[in-house]
Amino acid sequence: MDSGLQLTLPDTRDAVEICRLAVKRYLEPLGPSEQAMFRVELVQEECLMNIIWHAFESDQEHIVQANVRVDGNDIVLRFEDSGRPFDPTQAPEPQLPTSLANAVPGGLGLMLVRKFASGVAYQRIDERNRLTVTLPLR
Amino acid sequence: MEFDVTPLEGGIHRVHLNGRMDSPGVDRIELRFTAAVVATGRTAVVDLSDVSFLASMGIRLFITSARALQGKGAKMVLYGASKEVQSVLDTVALDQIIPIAPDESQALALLNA
Repeated sequence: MDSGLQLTLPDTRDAVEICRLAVKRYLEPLGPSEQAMFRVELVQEECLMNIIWHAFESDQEHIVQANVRVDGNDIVLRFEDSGRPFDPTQAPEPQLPTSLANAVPGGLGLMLVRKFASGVAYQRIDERNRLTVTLPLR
Repeated sequence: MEFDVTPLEGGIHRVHLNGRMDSPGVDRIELRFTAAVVATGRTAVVDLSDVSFLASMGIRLFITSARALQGKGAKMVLYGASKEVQSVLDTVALDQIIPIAPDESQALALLNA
């Protein structure tokens, strides 16, 4: 099986664009549909932003490992960090707002990941978070 | 990510967004968008037809801008989203708090509804 694309990213917002461009270069020759590319870019942005904002308490720079591979008809994205434990599969769904006044823009990213991925799995291994997200290639 | 603002009749602004509304794109326009769209307190119809991508950072900008405009007695309506961008708007049920129309004429009609 193809081991895919391995990326070592900073836990800063620069990581989002670095990851997007690298994943695009990796996937495009494999013929993903336009919808699949949109969904991959959405899921990777939301997963990375969640790590960047919430995983680490200190201001020191940390590393996020990303792996992207194609397994049959699936695109498999894996993100690993050594931040505080967080299992997004167990996080409650945010309450959708009923008015602008009570709208809280947090939690929407995770909702989008759950909606657009065909599978989301979490493991805590050796004090690291490992999030694996699967999406259809076409 | 870029945007431009065009005055329409009735003191309404048309805001044309162009590019990716992801984290880097929103970072690029957020301050200018707030100054040009929100600070004026004018009702805005926001053209999404050239927005190729939308993530939660973009939705956040829409919510905070629409809320600020509401506080000034103005409204914001979004229109022209592509199928993929619309699927993101639908997933978070944004139309429950910000009106969304298929095109500009219907966006303007929603302002008078």
